[in-house]
Amino acid sequence: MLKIVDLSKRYEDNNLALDHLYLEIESGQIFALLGANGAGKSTTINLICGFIPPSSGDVEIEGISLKKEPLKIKSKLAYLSENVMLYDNFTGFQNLQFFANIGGNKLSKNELEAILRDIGLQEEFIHKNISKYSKGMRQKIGIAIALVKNAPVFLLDEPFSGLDPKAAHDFQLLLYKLRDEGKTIFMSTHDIFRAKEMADVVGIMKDGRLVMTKTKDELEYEDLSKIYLDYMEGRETKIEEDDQEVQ
Amino acid sequence: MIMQAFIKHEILNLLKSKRVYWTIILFMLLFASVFTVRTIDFKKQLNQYIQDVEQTEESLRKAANYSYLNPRAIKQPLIFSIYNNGYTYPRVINIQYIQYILNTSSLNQEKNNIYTENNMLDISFLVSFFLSLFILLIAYDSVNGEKEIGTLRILMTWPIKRQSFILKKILGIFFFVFIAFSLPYLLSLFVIIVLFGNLLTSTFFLSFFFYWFVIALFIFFFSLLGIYLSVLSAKPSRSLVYSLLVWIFLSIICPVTWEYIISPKLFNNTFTNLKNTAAVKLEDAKKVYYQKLPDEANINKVSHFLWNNYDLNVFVWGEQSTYDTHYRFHHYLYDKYYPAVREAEQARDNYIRKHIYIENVKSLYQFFNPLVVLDNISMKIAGNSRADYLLFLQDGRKVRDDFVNLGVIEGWYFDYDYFAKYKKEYTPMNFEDYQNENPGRTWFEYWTEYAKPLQDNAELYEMKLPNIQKYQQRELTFTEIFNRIYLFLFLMVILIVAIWLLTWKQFLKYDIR
Repeated sequence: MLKIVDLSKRYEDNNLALDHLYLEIESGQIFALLGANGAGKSTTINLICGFIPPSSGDVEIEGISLKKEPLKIKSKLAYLSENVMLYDNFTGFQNLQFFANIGGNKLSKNELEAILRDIGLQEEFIHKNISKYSKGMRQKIGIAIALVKNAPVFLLDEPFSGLDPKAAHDFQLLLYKLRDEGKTIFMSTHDIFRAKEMADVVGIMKDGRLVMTKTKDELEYEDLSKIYLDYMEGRETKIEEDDQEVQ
Repeated sequence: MIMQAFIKHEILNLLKSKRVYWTIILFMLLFASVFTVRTIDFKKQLNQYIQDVEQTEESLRKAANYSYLNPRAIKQPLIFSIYNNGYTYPRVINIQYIQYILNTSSLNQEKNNIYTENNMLDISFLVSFFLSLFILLIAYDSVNGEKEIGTLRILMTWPIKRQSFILKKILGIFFFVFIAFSLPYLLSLFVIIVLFGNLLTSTFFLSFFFYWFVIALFIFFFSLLGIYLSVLSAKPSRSLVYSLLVWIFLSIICPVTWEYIISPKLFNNTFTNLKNTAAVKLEDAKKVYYQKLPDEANINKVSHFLWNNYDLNVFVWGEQSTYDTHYRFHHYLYDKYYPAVREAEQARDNYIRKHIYIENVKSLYQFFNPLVVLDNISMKIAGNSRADYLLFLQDGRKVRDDFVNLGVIEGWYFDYDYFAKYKKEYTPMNFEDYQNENPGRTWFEYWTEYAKPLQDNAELYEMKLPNIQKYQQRELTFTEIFNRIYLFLFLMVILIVAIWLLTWKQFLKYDIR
């Protein structure tokens, strides 16, 4: 379970990038965070990963606090960036082996190959240099690396951007599989349709604030694109007023 | 185990990078060429040395017949000069050879140009000039390069401390470069053992391992420096520029400003004074040597029994008055001339001492410059610094003084006991008698047919020779080498710690996004 409590970030130029974020994502849930560029999605991920120190607040994964145990919490989260960047001079297998080793996870050659096969990497690419991989394949290696880490929380930064439809579909299935295994998946995305399709909870972020969270059920008969655009174009206050009128 | 995986990965990663690969290949090629050039040069020096020794041995053998010696201190060429040429200086100290006395290397180095070939291209130069650049070229994008391709972000989501990450980088690059240096270095040792195995002494091996250790420190420092510069800026292109600027500053600007601006300004006056004093003292010694001899010691006024030829080192005479005059002549030299020579030598030593002093000031002035530190350490390890030259000169003079004390002046034993005298029962024929007996014969025929065979026949002489101690070259022990370099090692360690702290501090606040 991922728990974010009162997390804020004010940069040195006084820009408030994240404003008192509270969020809880249960195990076995996919959370999709929508928002325009500069809304604070990346800042949120950077803070959770410990790339930058928060101005206030804390993050907890399975009761481990980022503030108190910044190193320990890292073993509980797996991070996958938009462009999965790996060591180009190495094969997919070698990349996976390296990350498994530094995680202290000594896996045999067969075990590592099995992981790569499981995530759907074609056999002939397992021992090929990463430089020959497509973006989808890199994404798979990224997931494999996250898997060998055996972390309960996955942080995915724009995981679908640039993937071809087949690769995106495969990746989606992979994420479902992870969710079914009880992993918590936090995903920032621009892809509203996929967010609605996949996520158990969807959040919209604007100017560093989480302005909306809705569950899959709540969104079932709503047009997420419209809601998103309304928020982006500043009509969200009107929506709230309309709600009040109905009440 | 994690650290091991890290370092292994780093080394493999470097090995697979084309840029690094070619840099190392270039370094190894340079190493091989420099090593070959230096080995050939050493072989040449060695042959020269063997020749010198043979000449001296020959001179000793002749002394058995003619009591004439050409005592010299000959420095064996150092095998380690293949790695570090150091300060090249005359290897032979001719101690007292009448024609050359005023040109001897101990007094007048400028005139003795036989052994002063200066070849600065050696492994030390290769390491300090090229390897430093190569390490920076390997390390300049080690951190920000990973940031740029994004692997740094992934790595930093692993439970790894930033300190461990930076340590891994340092050790990875260090081991990689160290191995890249050690392979040709060890191979060169193998070649040396094959070629010159019989000449290797414990000092050589001590120097070899000390040098290896010091270069390891040097590589460590530059790996750190490269990583520091990589952490200093977010973009590899920028850190490349920084690295080149730092390298140009350390390897070109620092030495050039020292050599052409600071050193002349600080020391030119004292240098000129010392040089002038040495020249004046030398002139004084010459005056004593050439001044009119007192009659009782003037060897030009006594008749020499046979014939003398400097080129063939032949002096044979037999009359009592000739002995007596020579004896007084030698005493005159001993009492008047040698004190003047010693003063001239001391003046020249002061000049060399100043050089040594300036070398030390140079290292202090550039204490932050590991290139200078390495240069100093390697000369001290190799045993071919200016200070070693001074030691050699003093050793050589000690040999000379021993000879003088034995009674050898200007190549001749002047003690009666050691004089080459024909046995009483035998009196050689002089040229006039020879001509009377053999009308029409030339002087040359007299020499080749009559005088020369006599001179080569030791049976005809009655003489004893003193025990002649051979000049023994100094061998360095572990403690001696350590004592020579510990200050510089300390300096190197301080530099490493300083740059380590800077890198550490910088990386703790490094923006890895």
